[in-house]
Amino acid sequence: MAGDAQTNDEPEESASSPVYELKEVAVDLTGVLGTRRILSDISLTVHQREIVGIVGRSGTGKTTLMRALGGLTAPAAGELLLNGEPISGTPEGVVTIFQDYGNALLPWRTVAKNVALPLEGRMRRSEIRERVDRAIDSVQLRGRENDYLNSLSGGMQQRVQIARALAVNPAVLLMDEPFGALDALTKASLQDVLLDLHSHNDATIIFITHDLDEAIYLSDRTFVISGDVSAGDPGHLSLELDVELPRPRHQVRTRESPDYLFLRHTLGDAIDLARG
Amino acid sequence: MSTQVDSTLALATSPRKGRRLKVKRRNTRGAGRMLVGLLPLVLGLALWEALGTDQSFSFPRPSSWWAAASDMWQAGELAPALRRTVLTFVLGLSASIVVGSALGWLIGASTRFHQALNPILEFIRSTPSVAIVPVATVLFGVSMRMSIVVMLTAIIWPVLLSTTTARRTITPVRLEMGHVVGLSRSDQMRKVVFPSLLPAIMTGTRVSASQGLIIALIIDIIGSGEGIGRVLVEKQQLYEAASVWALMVIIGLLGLVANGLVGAVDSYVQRGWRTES
Ligand SMILES: Nc1ncnc2c1ncn2[C@@H]1O[C@H](COP(=O)(O)OP(=O)(O)O)[C@@H](O)[C@H]1O
Ligand SMILES: [Mg+2]
Repeated sequence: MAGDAQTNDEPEESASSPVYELKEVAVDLTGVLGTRRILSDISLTVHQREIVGIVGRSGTGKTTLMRALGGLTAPAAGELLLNGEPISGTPEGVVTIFQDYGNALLPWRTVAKNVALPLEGRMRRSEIRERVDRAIDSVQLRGRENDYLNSLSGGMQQRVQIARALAVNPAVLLMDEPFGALDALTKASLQDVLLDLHSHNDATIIFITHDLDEAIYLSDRTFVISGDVSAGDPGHLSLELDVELPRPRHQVRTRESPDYLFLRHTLGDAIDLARG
Repeated sequence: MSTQVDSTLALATSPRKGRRLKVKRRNTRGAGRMLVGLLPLVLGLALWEALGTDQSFSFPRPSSWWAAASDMWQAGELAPALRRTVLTFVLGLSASIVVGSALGWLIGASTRFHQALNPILEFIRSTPSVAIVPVATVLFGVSMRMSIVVMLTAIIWPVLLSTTTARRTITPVRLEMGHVVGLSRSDQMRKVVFPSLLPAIMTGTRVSASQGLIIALIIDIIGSGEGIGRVLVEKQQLYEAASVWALMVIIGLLGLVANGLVGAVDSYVQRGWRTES
């Protein structure tokens, strides 16, 4: 795609080098009930350009895992490496897209200004404008640049958040139930926006969902996370599934293929097992 | 007759009267509605002018108020008094906004601070600001600088408390978002935290401003011995009813202008995204 060469800050050195390496990571959180282990024994490796999905029931620690990956929560044990280095603070080049788009966007800024937020003061105005325009185009929000968020639907607001993430041209996109709050049609169209963007881009994507179909449809690999934190069983990865469905994927045809149905079945069983 | 004079004048100078006027004013915000709302007042004054006499001790005709006002102006009483009161009000309010929002921000950002200070804040919140003035005057004296300190002690609370609450209730996601997109500390404060507090600062400012005029007048009366409040009391003691009425109108107008300005700033800073929270 035109312009990509200019915006990719780091040329890829080895396409298969791991972006994330987690070895027996555990995460503790302290709440009113004292400190509890939320995640334990999480080991996984994520490579560049991969799309990795994580599915699980609610309360199994999905958000906590995402926060650890994004540097918002430090692991209590194990090793969490990003590009071979331990994470401290929120790392450059890793952007989280929050499920709660309403609070992750700034209502006193217009769409374009929200998208520009991470770029301000870092580059020339003309370059900011160019990047913002491109990001807004890629999530199909052209024409709404100067609107405030309260005039946008939930789906549009989530697209603004995605555009803001894209504008910084991140190496890693972490998405916590990005489409969870949206209706089925909006969700399907945003899934396709995301896949289309990814096909032009070197970003690694890790996303969380509680929707099995979404997990399979988007990902190269899907993990099931299970456990029951309140019963003293911290979240852990209970299944890894390679999703070798051809790309580009198609909302209807992909979901009809026997391979898809087989994966869907396997995943469904795993989640049911996880319920125990 | 003379008891009637006293009670009328006392009513005109009491701060409660000022507060009652303010309520009426707030209901009539919005240009169109305000004009309609002023209609009964205008009619009443016209009637008063037509039926009243200049000999009335407590109810001099409105035209005599004007004469009294221009007399006071010519005598050089009005301008310095107005300047003094307005200055006390503006400086005191500004100091309250700046110090109140800064302190509220700090207190709200730290759970420990907040827990330690909360009982005191709750106590002061429930103390009428008018009651603080005599204490503060005793503590700080009556110079201009001290008037500002007295104003601050009396009216900082609405701004401080609403900013504290707003800082405490910023959703964590909003702050984390700032970190995630890589904002520097100062950008995080300028572009994320401060605008999140602004509606609360403005709400607090509205309340502080409406208390502020009352406090400025009280400082005139029991503190500095200057300003419009002082003139009002002097005229009352001299039984110059027309002057008292005139001063009441002037003070009313001051309040109107002050509320209007604060309201205008509020709508300006929140243009476009009013529906939040
Ligand atoms: N700050 C915290 N302190 C203690 N427990 C927490 C905290 N945040 C979340 N939890 C608990 O951790 C578990 C996992 O939470 P979360 O990661 O949000 O799960 P998910 O995203 O899968 O729904 C839940 O049982 C939740 O109650
Ligand atoms: Mg969650």
